[in-house]
Amino acid sequence: MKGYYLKKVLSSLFVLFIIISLNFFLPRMIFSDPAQPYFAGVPEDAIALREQIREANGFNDPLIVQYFNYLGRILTLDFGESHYYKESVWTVMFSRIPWSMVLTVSSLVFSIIFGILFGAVAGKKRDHAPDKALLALSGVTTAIPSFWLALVCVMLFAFTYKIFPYRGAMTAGYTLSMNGVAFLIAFAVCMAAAITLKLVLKKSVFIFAGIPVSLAAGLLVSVPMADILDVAYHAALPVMIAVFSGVISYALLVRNSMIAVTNEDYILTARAKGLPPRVVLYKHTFRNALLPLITNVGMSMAGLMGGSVLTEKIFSWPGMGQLLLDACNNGDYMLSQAILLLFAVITVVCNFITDLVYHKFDPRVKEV
Amino acid sequence: MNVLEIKNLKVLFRTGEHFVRAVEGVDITVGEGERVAIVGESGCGKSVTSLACMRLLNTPPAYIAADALRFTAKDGTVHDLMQKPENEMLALRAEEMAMIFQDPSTFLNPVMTIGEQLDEVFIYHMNMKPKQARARSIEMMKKVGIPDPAMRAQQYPHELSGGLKQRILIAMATSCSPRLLIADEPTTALDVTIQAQILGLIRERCEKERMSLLMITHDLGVVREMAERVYVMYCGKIVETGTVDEILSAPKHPYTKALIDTIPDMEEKVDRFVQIPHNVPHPMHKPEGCYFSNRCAYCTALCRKKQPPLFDRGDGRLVRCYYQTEELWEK
Repeated sequence: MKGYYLKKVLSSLFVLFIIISLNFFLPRMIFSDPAQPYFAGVPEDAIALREQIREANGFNDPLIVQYFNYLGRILTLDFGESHYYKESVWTVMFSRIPWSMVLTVSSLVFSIIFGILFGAVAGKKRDHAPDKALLALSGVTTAIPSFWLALVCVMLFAFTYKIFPYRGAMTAGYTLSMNGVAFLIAFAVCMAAAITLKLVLKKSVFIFAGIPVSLAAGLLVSVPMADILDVAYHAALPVMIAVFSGVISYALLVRNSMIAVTNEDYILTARAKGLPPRVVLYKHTFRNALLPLITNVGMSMAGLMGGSVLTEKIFSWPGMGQLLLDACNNGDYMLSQAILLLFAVITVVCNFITDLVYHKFDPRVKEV
Repeated sequence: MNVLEIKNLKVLFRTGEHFVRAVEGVDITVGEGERVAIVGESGCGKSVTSLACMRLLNTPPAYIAADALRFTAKDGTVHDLMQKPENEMLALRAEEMAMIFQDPSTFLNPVMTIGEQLDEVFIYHMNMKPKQARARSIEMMKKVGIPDPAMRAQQYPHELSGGLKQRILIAMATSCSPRLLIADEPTTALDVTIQAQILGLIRERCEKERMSLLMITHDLGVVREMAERVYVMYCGKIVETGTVDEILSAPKHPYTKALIDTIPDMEEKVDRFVQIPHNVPHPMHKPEGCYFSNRCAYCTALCRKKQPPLFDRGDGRLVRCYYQTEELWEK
């Protein structure tokens, strides 16, 4: 058991090392000068001055030396300063991550909840009305690219009918007034309650549910209600578009897996035991059918902080996707490197967590 | 008195545009405390017959018809299984009629512990509290000879050997001491040494709980071991019935004889094992006349033309063959 975790951790670290290295070498393979952004405001012909800047920032060192310097900086979590924003890369990223999460977390949560419900109803009986509706809708969502749908929705609901705002995350500015102390207190109280419940009732589900509930409670207490409503109003349209395709894809997954599990031999055993159909469905079929969903959700989790480049661009949402796009356009090496690294780390960590959670639900994996 | 009485059972399956006749008018009776076997190759409709009795076939695609499908419960009430609504069938399953299956590794739920799966029977049929149910489950596991049952109850199916898993399925099926136990090839997936133990356990459980047994198998060795009376089935029809001794020592139907001839002789050294030529015909392409005619060594023009009825020989044996005599084999 311990060996299994150790192996997983080591292989995750190895993957991270490869990614970090690629992250250094790939941008240097394209024919643009990484020093270029440093020359802002320096005249073309001031060659000596340019050379001085190069030397000072280490661009004249051999590539291998630069590489090890880069590794050293990453180990100390020093990502340097963004050239475009003239701020530490950390500061720039952390001002954007929460905005991305507003969109991604809410779309993921709604997609999963409604996806499972819809999938369960459709998978319960094949070729019945809900099942047919799901299959038809899945054709629609795979055929329509979500960015196109987003553009049409903006046109329709933001310009023609003016129901929703067409851009931005808040009516004025991007700064939420948040009471950090209130957040921490509310979060701590809720987590304490969840842990107590877990210890008393011995169900680890309270911990899983406790984290998001505590976060939500913390936000509700620490952010003014008017601001929350304003953000929700702005987020409504992008979230609905993401949920539309998300629900269908999760529902399809659950439905297919339910139908596959219904034909398993152990379902026949459960029925031969004389269990009521509802018990056969929820305790035997459903529980097995949700296993593939865990992997799928785990992979979507990786995109949580990354946000969606296309959606954020269309709605001018101040998230990580937009930031990455701007960093690339501005040749902001430090920033784009850090963002890509963050995405990679999150992906690897989420994969690791998915493995752990899968363990909990499928006892067979322990043997591997 | 008969525990189970099947008269003229027919099962059809719908596949696209066509109907496939899996079972074509089968009569089977199982007496009180009697052990009965249904023998035949794969695809003869044995399993479908047993699932139809339990009403476990999904309808559609299956369509079931019968002149009678009667079951006599422990308290003497006679249930018409054809007319029973599903919610009343739930109470009969496990409590009155139970089933064990072929491959213990796929018939246990992989994500539930052994204990949880055994508990369910007690929780839903006897309204027990989980703790009580677990105590009973452990007791049941002891009865079927599982060492260290308390520890085993917390394990998952993949942590147990095939033999142990089959014991669990037997425990599950017999935990309400049902009137009738249907065993669908319970030893096919097990290796030979374990087979004998499992068969012994099934017999022991049947005798102790005074259960009737309907054993489905393709193994004549199992039949000799387990059954008192045999039905030989071919292509969805009964071709011969009789007591085990009669059938095994003096088969009257060419198919039964062919089955017996395929048993290898331990004393004799042979180059090739005896086999019945061709395969069981696909249910959509059964031959005209006698279904066995295309594989029968003694087939005549009459056999190819007209389906023989089930002749009553008067000595308690029924045979679906025009000739039914040993002289025929001599030729």
